[in-house]
Amino acid sequence: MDPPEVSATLRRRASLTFTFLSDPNLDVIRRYGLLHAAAGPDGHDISRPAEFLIDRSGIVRWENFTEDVRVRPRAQEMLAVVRAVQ
Amino acid sequence: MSRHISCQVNEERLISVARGGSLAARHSPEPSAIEAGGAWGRRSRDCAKRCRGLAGREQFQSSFPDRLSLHGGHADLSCHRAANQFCPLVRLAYHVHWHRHTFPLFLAATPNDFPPAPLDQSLLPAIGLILLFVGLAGAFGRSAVYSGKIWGSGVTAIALLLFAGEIWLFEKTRDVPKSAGAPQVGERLSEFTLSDSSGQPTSLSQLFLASADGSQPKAVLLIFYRGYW
Repeated sequence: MDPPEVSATLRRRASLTFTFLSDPNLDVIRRYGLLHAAAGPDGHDISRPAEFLIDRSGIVRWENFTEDVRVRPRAQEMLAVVRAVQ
Repeated sequence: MSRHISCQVNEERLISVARGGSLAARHSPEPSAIEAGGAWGRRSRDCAKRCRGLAGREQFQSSFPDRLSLHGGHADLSCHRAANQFCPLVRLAYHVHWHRHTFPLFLAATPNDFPPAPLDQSLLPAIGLILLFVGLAGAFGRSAVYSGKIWGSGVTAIALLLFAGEIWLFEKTRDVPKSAGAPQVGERLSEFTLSDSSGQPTSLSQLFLASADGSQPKAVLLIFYRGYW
């Protein structure tokens, strides 16, 4: 949801190398059914946490929808799923 | 404020100690009067030590008359707590030390990356509540020992506030939509195009293009962030 420049600042400060994509209008978030209405700090709409593993054919191979925003999948778990993809 | 603890002694040893009230000391044989510096004096000092040991770190003064008069073969040995010489912070630290077991244990049970077990989210807070009210009952039921009616009530109020805050936080963090319409495993994800951090449009297909080192990713991990804590 953050604009590209905010993501760029975060990417630089945290020395992150993966790709950041911005969805400020929540178009993709709504299309994928991930909208969390009025959950933002100012009451605006945000995305619920979610992870998808997509193979080269665009098929969803693994997904995770947490029921508690404090709980996220570990990196080891996601790496194990990635290694399992043929 | 003074606190009265009585010791029951005989000629041989310290028999028992009672908090509050008073017990008569029995002595056999029964002299009419005993000098405090003699055998009774030693027993009196033992009584004082016992009182201090039972009361913890609170300062006690023992009051021993120069002469202990036996009436009908009995004598009272008493330990009185001195006037409060500790500042409120020290007294609070004292009560924290002695009532540490009443603090809700759930404050230490914070979830990690894995989904929290039901034990962490329900049993530990219940144990903490039980211990909290056990401590409060002790503070009121045995106020002569713990002198915790005011401090116990204050600490209980703080603990209950923290507990209420934890309940609120627990409900707030679990207020997440079900997302029944989200893509499921085995479905094809629809194409999209969004701007990357440099402002360049990037599609889902482009994420599978070869990277700078020439390697082509066999999968892409899409992570949707909540946006704030």
